[in-house]
Amino acid sequence: MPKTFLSIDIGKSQTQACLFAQREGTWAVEGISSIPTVIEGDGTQFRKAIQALLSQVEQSHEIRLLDEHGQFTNIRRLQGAPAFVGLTLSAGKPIRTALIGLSEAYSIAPLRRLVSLFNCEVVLEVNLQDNLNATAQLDRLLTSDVELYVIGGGANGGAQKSLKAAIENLRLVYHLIPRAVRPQIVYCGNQELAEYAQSEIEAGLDMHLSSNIQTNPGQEDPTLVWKAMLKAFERLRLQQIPGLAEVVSDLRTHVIPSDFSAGRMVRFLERSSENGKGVLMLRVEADTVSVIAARDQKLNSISHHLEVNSAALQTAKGLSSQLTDLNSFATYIFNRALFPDYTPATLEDLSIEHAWARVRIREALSALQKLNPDFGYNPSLGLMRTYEPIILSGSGMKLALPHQGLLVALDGILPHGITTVLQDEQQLLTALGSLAPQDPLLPVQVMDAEVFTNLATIINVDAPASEGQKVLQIEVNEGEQNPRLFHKIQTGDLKRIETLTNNKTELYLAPHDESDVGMGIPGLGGWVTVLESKVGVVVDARGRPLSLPVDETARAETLHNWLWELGG
Amino acid sequence: MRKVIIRSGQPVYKQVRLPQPGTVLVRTGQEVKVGDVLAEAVIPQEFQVFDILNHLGIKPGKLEQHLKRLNGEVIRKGDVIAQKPGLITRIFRASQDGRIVSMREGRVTLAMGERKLQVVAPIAGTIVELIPGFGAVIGLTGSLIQGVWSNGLNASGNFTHLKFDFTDPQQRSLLPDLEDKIVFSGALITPERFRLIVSKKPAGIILPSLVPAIVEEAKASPVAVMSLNGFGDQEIDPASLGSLQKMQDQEVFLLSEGLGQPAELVLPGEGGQTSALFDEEISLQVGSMVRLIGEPYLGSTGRVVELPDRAERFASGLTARVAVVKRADDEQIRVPVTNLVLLDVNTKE
Repeated sequence: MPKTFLSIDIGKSQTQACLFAQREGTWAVEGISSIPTVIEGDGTQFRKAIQALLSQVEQSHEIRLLDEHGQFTNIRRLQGAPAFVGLTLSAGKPIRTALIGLSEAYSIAPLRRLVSLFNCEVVLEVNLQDNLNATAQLDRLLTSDVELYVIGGGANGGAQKSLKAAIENLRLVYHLIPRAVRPQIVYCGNQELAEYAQSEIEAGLDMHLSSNIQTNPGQEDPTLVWKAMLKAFERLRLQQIPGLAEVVSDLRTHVIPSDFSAGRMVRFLERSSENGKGVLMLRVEADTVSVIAARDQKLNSISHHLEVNSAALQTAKGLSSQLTDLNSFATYIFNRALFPDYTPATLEDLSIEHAWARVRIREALSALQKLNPDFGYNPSLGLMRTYEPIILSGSGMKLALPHQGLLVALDGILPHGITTVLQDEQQLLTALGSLAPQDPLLPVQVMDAEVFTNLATIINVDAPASEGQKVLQIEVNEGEQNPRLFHKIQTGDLKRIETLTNNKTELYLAPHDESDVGMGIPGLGGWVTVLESKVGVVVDARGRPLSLPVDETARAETLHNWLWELGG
Repeated sequence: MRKVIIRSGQPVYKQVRLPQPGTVLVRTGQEVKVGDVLAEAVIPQEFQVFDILNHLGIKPGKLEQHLKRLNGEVIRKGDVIAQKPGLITRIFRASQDGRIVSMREGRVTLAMGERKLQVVAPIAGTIVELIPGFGAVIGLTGSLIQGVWSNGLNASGNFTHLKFDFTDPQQRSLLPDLEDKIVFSGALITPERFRLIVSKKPAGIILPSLVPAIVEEAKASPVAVMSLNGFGDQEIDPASLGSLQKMQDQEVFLLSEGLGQPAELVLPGEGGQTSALFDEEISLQVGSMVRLIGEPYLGSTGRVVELPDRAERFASGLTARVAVVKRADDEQIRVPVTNLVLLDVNTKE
């Protein structure tokens, strides 16, 4: 019997189980099952749902996950059970979080970047340099209904007075107000006060100490705080989701945030890549867009929810390839929020869905840029720094054919230079991230088996030339037997070049003097070898920002033509 | 799959709970009336942090001799907490009744006043379950119509079906008295019409759907608002309309689960099926009554006549599992299962 690992991801709408098996030393995906997520109620339905999912996995594979009566049991007691179960969670409301730090630049901003990987919503920020008096500070801490307090600030050996006062206030907050869910406290500030904070606050297992997030003045290392954040996350979720504690106990595992899990893999891919570029993952769900970016061995992430408002609706309407009046457009978006599993069945519904996704992606990227100024995104000029690959994932991406999903992402991201776009159709990155610490070979071998769909290679042409002027010539070499193909690319073009099946396609890029195709400097070209992909090579000379006609009909037609060029 | 209940003789359960632990004031089996307090938590009205060392100019080593009260002590307004004698005596007094909750490193924290957090019964019924430390579940039987969206407010009042011609400008001043009533209107409610209704001070407004232009106003409205179907210009389904007609001039309760969340309209007292023991979890099957949530059939209802096993491709190019639905006009349509709301209605309807 092969060694097996199981991962379970409790998503916002679907809970998915992935079974991996190791045969002859190689790990591979054995099977995937999913059911609708249920987290409301007293825990009975939640347990039943997970039980049903495990039962599905048992029926399709030679594996034991439940006892002889089909009930949950300690998985370690079962013969033939997986050697390890990884559990990830993105369901549930974001964790209401307070950040307490000594300064905006050195503590609050790094704390924002830290918590964004853990499904947190920052509802309160206390900057101790704001000279808020102790009574006002206590009042704010008491009235914000916070579930997680993260205290940073201060270099080791630095000033202590205001931090001590904040710690004293936290002690009062923790002990004075009874709560349905015990708040968690993460301390990652001046290490000379760590023990003081622990003994002063007296929060027992609800207190989580870590090294100082600020390693040197102006330098941060959030990875030092991840362990403490994971413990706090788990303790909160176990209290908030009835039935989860029993499931975690029976499966002998820990629950971690889905984005954190996927982030592990994004970080791994970036570290193992030799192209010097970052790696970007975009997970588009019904109500949120998660952006996870790794660059220079740093990981940044955000899970962004866009509130429906008239400005966003107006912008999105202008990005629809069908003509729709604003009232119908807004009706669709409002109803979409009520019915997240909705399937766009008509072309009009689909165009609204995709237009809204474009805006949500842009807003999420902008939010990550605000969080981390090094990310490199400009709302009108697009993603200025290079990321390769860009990985698309999430239920939102399933509501599109490959070329449609690609164009939605392309129009949202607006990448520069040359990059590859992959699709994680089976949401495997999250699963792999939850299992990677148990056997680092597993993700490497599974990803080697090309589990991701290669959607396209994007070549963006930045050129100052005016509309219709030639900016690039492409020579396509499809092998000795085939004649060479030549393509002229003009400003404003969006062109698709099909790739060879089961083979590499070689392209020679010859840009005009002022055209930049991402080879280092404008005018520099060269050979590019691309692998087979679903959509092919997409040459984007539409310019940044995207130039769309003011006239509504002409604009919809332009968007429709772009879609048509990529595949209909 | 989303399901809504539109039934008479339906057991209705309403959970009422404090946001933080407190004392539950009711017992199982107890009958409660609207407004009865079910649970309460007493918390301090406010806190005051006073830095004695800095404000009174006391050296840390001499703090103890200047403190007049101990941590945990109950204090009265005007009590001296700390005093530094001298040419000009400096005193820190309690500004209100309360308690000393902390004395650390020269800082005194007072918890002053008292604030009660209470949760009350939004509807009359019997306490069927206690939530220890937090609240209780009220149970009753009645006619129930579930809606998919509300603005977070609860309301009660006499139900009235507003049959008013909004299109006739002559009638504008003739809108009937709606004060303290729960009003249903099947007309298309524009922002202007919405404001007109709100000006009549009803307790609640029920609409088949909300046009996008009134969503923000409905969210901010002091009047409870409930949408049965969602958003857009949708008609009410026959089952809901039938139930609403039976509610005319009777006291009904609009119970919301929160802003943007579903709500229920309840007419208590109708007997029939009285025990949750006989509750049946319904699921989508041939014969099920459904509401459609996508254009071009938004809001229309019908019965499922076929549930093919195989997924089908739609005009959008996407593939999904389908249901064949026969609408009231006998037209049969094929729609994705995900685009249906299952209606749990009385069998005869």
